[in-house]
Amino acid sequence: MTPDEKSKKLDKLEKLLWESKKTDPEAVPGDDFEKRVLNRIQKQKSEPENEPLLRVMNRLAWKVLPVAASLFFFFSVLSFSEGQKNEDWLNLIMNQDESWNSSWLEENIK
Amino acid sequence: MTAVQVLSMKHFSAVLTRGPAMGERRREALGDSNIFKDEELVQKTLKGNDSAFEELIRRHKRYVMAIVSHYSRDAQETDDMAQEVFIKAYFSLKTFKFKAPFQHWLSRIASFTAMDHLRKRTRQKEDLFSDLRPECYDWLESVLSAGLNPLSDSRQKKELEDLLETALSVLSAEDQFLMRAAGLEGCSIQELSQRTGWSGALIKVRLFRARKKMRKYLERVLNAEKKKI
Repeated sequence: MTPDEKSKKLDKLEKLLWESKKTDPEAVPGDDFEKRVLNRIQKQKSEPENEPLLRVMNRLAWKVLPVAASLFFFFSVLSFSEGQKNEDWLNLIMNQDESWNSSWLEENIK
Repeated sequence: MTAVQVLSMKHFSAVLTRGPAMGERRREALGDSNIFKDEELVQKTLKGNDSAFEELIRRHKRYVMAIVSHYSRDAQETDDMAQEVFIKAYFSLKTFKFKAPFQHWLSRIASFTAMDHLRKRTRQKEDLFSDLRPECYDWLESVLSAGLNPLSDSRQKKELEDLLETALSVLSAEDQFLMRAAGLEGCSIQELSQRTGWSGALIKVRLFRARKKMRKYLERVLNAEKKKI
């Protein structure tokens, strides 16, 4: 079969396929379509995630979360550095103690 | 057709589609609902009047069903999709800007709902050739060479519909949507662009590639059939 013949055959098949679907009867809404939609809407409205308060809280949570995380990080760094400072102060006392002890020892030995 | 004729037709169709009891109830809530434009009904819905939305559903359900039916496999799926369109419309009514007609806005929601359904379906895709029944191979060649009209035979029409569905399932959900909209709904590039928000050039390229891919698949089907014979 030549490429031209093949192409014509495919064109024909394509046309047939689309025609087959196009000739389907028009879809008609079922009984009480409006009621069923409104019932589903009411149902979705009453679902917990659609409660206005929860929706607001959810929205706020996404805004508050990064701020809270940043604050937490800031205060952890601050307390860590404070801790470091305290440690330095302790070391200082210890060192002073040692120097005092050593001078006291030196004096007593003399 | 004059505006008066259009209005009277609208009124006539509204009378036909509603039951007397329901009509009475709605008239109590809305007065004579036909005097309201779609935009007014949208505003009423936004103020919490669900009867106004019920009227909007009544006016546009056939239009929405006509759109989504091209993307569904059966009547039940069409009904579900149409319901989903109205539910999505209800919950995103705040985003309606009153610039374009309500029906255009609804058609966009219907298009995206259809695309979502096609996406779900492509995720469940199985082996393509296994979907074709052996009988399909037997008569396809004869139909194409003899120039018969298989659409008069309901069984053969069903076979062709199945083959179209299988050939379309080769494509991505977005390409399937475009092909169906162009092939079944007869949408122009401009209409498709309005519905999807994609540029005309992008739609043209996607349609060209999708058609090429689909034809390649159909060629494989025809070759497979030939080997069998």
